[in-house]
Amino acid sequence: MSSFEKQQKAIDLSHHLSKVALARETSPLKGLARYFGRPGLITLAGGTPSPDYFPFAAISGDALVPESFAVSTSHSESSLSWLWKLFGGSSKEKTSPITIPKFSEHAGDVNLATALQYGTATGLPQLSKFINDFVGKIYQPGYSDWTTLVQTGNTDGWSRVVLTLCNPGEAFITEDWTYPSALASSQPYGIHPVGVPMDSEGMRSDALRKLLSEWDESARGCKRPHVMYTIPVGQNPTGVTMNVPRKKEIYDICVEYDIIIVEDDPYYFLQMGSYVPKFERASQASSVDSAKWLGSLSPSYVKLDYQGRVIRLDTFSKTIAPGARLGFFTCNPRIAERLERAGETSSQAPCGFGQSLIAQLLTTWQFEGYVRWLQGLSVQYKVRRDFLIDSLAEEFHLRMSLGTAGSRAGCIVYTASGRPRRDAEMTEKFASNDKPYFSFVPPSAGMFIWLKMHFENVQGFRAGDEDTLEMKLWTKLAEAGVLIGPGRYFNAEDEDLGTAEGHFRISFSFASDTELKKAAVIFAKVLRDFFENPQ
Amino acid sequence: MAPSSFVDLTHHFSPETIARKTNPLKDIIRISLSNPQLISLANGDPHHSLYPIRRIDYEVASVSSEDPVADLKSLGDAAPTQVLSTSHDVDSQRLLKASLQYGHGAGLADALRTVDSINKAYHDAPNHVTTMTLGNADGITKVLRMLGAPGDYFLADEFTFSPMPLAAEAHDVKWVPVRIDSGGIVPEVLERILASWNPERGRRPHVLYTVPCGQNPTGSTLSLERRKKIYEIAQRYDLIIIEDDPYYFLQYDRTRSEPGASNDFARSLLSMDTDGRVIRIDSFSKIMAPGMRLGWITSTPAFYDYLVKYIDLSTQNPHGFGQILITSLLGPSGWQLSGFDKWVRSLRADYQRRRDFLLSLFAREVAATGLASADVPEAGMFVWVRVHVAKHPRFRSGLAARAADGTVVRTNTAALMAELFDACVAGGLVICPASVFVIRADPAHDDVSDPIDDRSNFIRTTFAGSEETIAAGIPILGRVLKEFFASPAA
Repeated sequence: MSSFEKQQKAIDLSHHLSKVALARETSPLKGLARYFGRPGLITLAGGTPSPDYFPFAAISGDALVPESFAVSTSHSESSLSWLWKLFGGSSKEKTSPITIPKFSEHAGDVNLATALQYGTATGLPQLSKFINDFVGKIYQPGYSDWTTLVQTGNTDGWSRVVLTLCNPGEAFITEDWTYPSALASSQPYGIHPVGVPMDSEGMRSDALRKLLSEWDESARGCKRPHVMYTIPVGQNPTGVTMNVPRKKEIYDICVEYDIIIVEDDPYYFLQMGSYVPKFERASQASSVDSAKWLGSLSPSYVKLDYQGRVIRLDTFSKTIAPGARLGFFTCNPRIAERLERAGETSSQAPCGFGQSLIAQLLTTWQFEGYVRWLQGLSVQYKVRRDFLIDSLAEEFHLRMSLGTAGSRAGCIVYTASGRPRRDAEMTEKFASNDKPYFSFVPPSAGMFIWLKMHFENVQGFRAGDEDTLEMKLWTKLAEAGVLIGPGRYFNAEDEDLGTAEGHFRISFSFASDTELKKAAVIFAKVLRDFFENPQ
Repeated sequence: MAPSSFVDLTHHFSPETIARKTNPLKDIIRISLSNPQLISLANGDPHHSLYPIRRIDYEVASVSSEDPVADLKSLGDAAPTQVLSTSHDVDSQRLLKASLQYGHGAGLADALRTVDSINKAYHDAPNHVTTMTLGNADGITKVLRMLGAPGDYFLADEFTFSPMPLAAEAHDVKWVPVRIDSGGIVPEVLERILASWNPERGRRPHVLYTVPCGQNPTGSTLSLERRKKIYEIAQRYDLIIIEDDPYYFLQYDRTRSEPGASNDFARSLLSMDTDGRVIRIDSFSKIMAPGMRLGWITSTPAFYDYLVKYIDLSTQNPHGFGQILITSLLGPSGWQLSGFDKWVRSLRADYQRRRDFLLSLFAREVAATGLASADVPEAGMFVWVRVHVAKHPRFRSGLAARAADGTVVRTNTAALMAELFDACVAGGLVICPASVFVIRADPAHDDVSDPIDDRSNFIRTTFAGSEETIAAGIPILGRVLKEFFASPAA
């Protein structure tokens, strides 16, 4: 939406609220809260301990400076700096101290007396303010009365959203392959996923329209879904990213069929562009400024959202640390109010240590500093992705081709087959086996490489064996010392493994380079053995 | 250690609990934690070199003196402190990394050992196990969801901290109030409700939610005798007891004379739990700081398994910042358990001083009017003030008015108490009226011969705040009461 168009308020979408959400009452005690802190009123009402008795004088820490990671991969020093830091310890790192005192010297500063007190479920004011400002500048929601609300991470976020929107027995729309925790958290309530086929950009809009227009309530046993759960960037597990035209198509369909879009977007800032093979890479590096980098990121659904039907889930898990258990919703005020009710009787406000530390960190870094940090992170993940694919290229025979059919049409596909052992290569002529073991499309965002296994090339393969082979191979890999994610965990509708393909999800977010290299070696050894000499 | 003789209580699970599967990704975390040699490329954990936080120092109160809370109070910023740092040695590095990563739903092993050591020191429950929570509100909601099927009836003190029961009501669990007096739940009333339960109304209540120490709002504490009776009723009627005990460490006037007690804190229901039917909920909110949002649940392994499954699929592992704190606070270079014990005793001594301060002011400024009285709370943060509403010139009895919930009330107590609340606010004081804590009875089934509206002539005051607040507030209460009872004009 162009800036000179006047933004509208969110439309009324309260008919999407579930029975549980509507039944949540405001505590009668909250009615009293309006009297608290009113000047001239003494309160003997609340059971809030005096901060004088908090046994904390201050929390302080060292935080990396926002420029800690290079924004270009052009020279080897910066591209490998994370490796050095790993082995060199913290001596080379530049940090700056942050301190949160019990009582602040200046009004409005972050302090423990406030952060460690009972608060409303809306969180620490300084943090909320930073988040609001950040969302307005980065995601630019398309309607005027959007709001944000802190939560304790996106798994908590989604589990609150699904109960706020869905009644038992309902279905929600998702990608054919998706984050299993999202599926497992709704399943106990009889709220089940319906998968939509994917392509190189994720959910297919034509398939979505087909699903909705042909929805047969009696055959499906439930009414047409009114909620969509989607991971549009660095999709978990497939690693694909959706661009604006597709988001626009899907948004329009959701307007037409009155669907709430839940945009789970933890990898938004880990967009890293396409993979370039090692030997071509040197020439492509260039440094970009932060504004240009931000502009290159695929816009969020909230930017297209002129009605207020998108609930966006952001988390600090991937950008600060998972143990912070801190994230936020961006959505329309009516839904935010119900999500707050769901929060205030359960997890309440997120931990005050984390809120104050992160608020202090972000306000010290400021908006520009945080953006710079995020840009540096995205480069670190790019380096990690490239390192893993390079390692696979060393251990397997990797062939590049253009995908022509199905979900990979138009993508650069890498197909891996066995490579002779290095010692054997030196001594005898050894034709590489051209039967592929697996293939993948390098991810352009996120943390994962999604492998499609070519189990049909396993000696003695019988059609229909794919599932058992997937678990057999997974076990062999685990026994050999490498743990990866079995594809079946990520299948949206697990009763319907019709495609009978095997998959694995490999994460490049955590392991060190030595581990990634060692894992690639083990992977190659186990796969060769598995494909050539199956039991 | 006595072998566990827990009975199988899995029939108490709600349908959603039974239907809940394990979060498969958390299974992988468990496998990788159990074998450190494995290279895990399974989960989306950012590498710790990518976390911007490199060191965290918690500057906490020192417990070197005999009465650290008194020091804190008299010296303020100048009170002695000690620093718990998480970057100066290898061991704390590990703690910083582990706590900032994704983890197990139950919590970090180090943090769990900490709460286990607290449990061991204060309770006698060697076969129960613990999982961390994000404070009691989170703990209670999760336990209620684990046990509550739509249409179920649960039991609670008739005056109770209402947000918790309300959260379960959204999931169609209904509450049956149990009459309480100044000593908490009356066991005979509890038994009568269960014995006379009409099965046509629905499944007999199978869960009792209670706050045994310094009950919120009435301040009552269950005696050992009542605890034993309640536990025995729970055994006979197959009840699960949710023992929500945030004020456990704030027990006053205690001596070590209580039979069977290994320390001078009241014997918890957990310590009596031979069957495994007590789920105990503890919190650091009242003894450290509420904004920490950290607590723990103690239960049998059977309940633990299901709680952890639910945690893994919702809030996940508790935040690292709180787990680092309690691990290092009770660790070898922190307070240790002995320092923790000193802190909670020093804290309760201070609360006791403030309780006594409030009560002495109350005697002079309020009780002296003859218009209100209060019992001495044995624990907690609250004084439950009985207003002698029958002395009001406009008090009416012998009515037969139908209240909003359908009960027939005999007095205009509710209306007068609402007026009194407004009069307090007009006079510059906010108190909690009893009405906000009421668990409503169902007149179609419950005994409402003495309806709660006629017995809601109470207000809750607190001594959790400072002496200044108490000194300013209590005289207002006395003054407002006098004016309110003197002026019959509506």
